[in-house]
Amino acid sequence: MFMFGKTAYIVAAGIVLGGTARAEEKQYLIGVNSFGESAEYAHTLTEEIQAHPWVLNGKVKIVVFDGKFDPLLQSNAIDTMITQKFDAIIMESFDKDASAAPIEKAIDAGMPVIGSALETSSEKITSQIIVDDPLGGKMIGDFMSERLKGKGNVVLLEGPIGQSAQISRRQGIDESLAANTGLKLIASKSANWSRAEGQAVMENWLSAYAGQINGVLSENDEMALGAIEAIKSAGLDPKDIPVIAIDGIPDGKRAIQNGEMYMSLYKYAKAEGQGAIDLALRNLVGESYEPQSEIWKTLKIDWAGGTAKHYTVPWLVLNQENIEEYLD
Amino acid sequence: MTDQALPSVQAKTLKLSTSVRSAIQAFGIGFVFLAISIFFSLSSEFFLSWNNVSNVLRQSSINGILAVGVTFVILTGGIDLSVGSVMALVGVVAGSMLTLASPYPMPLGIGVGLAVGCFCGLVSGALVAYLRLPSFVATLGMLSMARGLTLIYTDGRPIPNLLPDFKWLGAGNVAGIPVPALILLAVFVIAWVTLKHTTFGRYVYAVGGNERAAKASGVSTRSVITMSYVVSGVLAGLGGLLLTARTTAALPQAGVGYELDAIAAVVIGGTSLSGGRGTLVGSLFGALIIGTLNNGMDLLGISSNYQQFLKGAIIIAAVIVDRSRK
Repeated sequence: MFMFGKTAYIVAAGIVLGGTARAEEKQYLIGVNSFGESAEYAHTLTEEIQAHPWVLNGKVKIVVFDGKFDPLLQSNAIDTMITQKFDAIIMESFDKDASAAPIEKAIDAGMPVIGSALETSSEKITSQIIVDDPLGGKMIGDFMSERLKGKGNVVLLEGPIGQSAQISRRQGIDESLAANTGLKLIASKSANWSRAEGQAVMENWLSAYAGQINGVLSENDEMALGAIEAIKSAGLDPKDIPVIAIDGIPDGKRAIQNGEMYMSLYKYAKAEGQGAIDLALRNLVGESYEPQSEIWKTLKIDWAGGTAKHYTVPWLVLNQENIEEYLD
Repeated sequence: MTDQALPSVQAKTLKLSTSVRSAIQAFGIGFVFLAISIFFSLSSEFFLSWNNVSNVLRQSSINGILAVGVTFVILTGGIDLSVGSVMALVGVVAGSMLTLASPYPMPLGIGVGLAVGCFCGLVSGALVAYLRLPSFVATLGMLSMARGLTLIYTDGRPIPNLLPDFKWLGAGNVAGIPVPALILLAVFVIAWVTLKHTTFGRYVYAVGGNERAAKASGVSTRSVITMSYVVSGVLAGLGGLLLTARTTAALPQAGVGYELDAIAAVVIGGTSLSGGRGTLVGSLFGALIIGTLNNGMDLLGISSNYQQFLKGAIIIAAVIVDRSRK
């Protein structure tokens, strides 16, 4: 025991010394206000952030706060980051409106806040880098219309009603339905982003509208995967009832690869995560900062000096032709 | 209990009246179930199609199995809030052993999964029975710990590519009847026999009715209480296995809030939350009522916002109707 104690002291001293040595070359402390680490997307986003070149070389230290799908926890996390004098905050607003006040509190405290993955309604936020959710909704509606040659009955699986991503994706889907008059929405229901719930809802629809459903739209991949299981267990072929969703999670990609899911829109976590770190660093380092992530080049997003209010990450269409390139 | 002290004739009448009452109680909730089913069959032509009936059975089975387990705990006067999280933990542990790439035979994966459920129940039960923690606190702690372990074990990622034989447990049919429903039936029969015809079953009621009296008459109340949580844990594990088989992937965020549906089924079924009184038949109907409501309202195309409200209102109404029949 005594021996162990001694070693522990030496190790502790090493850590302390190492810590001071690194602190001399100014390490930036950036807090990531995650919307919910148990969601696969949030988790991937965090991993991409940890893979940013400056995080890897130690110039940036990342601390992740798990918002657990609760705007109040996200707000508390911002209070903590203000108290602990973080250099910048990456904000994944679980709720568009509820996030505005805490964001502005941080801005008033002099910390740059970069919105990532989910939009906030705050006008004061330093900058946002996100995909365009209403556009995504519109795109999946339009692709469905194209696949069904302009005519057919569709059903829609929705996220938790009232959640920002549900509202904006639905808004785009409605726009598409209004434009593609041949598509008829015969049923829609929230399956709370859940695979098991999506499966049950789809099973019920397949009995209620037997033989009438021509296509399935889903506001995320999880629910779509549940719907595909329901279609298969009803003895139908998912290739006859195209399922189109949004997110491009690994399971979704596999379903596209084996032809069960028709297509999905890939929300590119690397762009939203590493792009946000670049924008935060531009604020901290100053004009001389050059963006380090490769995403600005590969996705051809205009850096615009790093000071624009809004950066839009393009959706990547995943389908059977290109899926091999994006498999993990 | 005081039965023994009474003259034999009186004891007989008392016994008769209890069994009549429990029959009415069971019938009462059966009546509510029948009324709901008739309503849906009149308003949707698809409701009674075999395809749909089999959907309802499949969709109610998991909740039914959980409700059977939770009934044991509630009968002892406790509550089990950890069910949904235990499901997820069992799902990912078993799921990780049952992928196409893993070398283990299927029974081993299932056995380890059930053992994990058993262990969770054992911990909660021991906390309640031996450390005298309120069941609400012990199982609330387990809810969080089991979810945490699930996320640690999977690193927050789903486990896909499960064995086809395992998936059959969720999606398969035997003689046209969904496998999960058959499993529920088997669980129900075993649990019913246990509660009705074994000493353990009688002790469960005795402990919930009056723990001190039970202890005074020589019942080892601590082990009875612990065992009831073990039953709940194992059945939560079984539910988790079926959910995993049904969604064809082990999902770390599976089963969130399932404990509430299970508790609702037990309460709709007429089991008293203060323990000592209730039936498994009631819990089974409770689970069927919840499953039928979800299914029927989807068939009628009722918007999900209204569905949430209606589900709550109908659950309250069902309990009121059931009470008034007693």
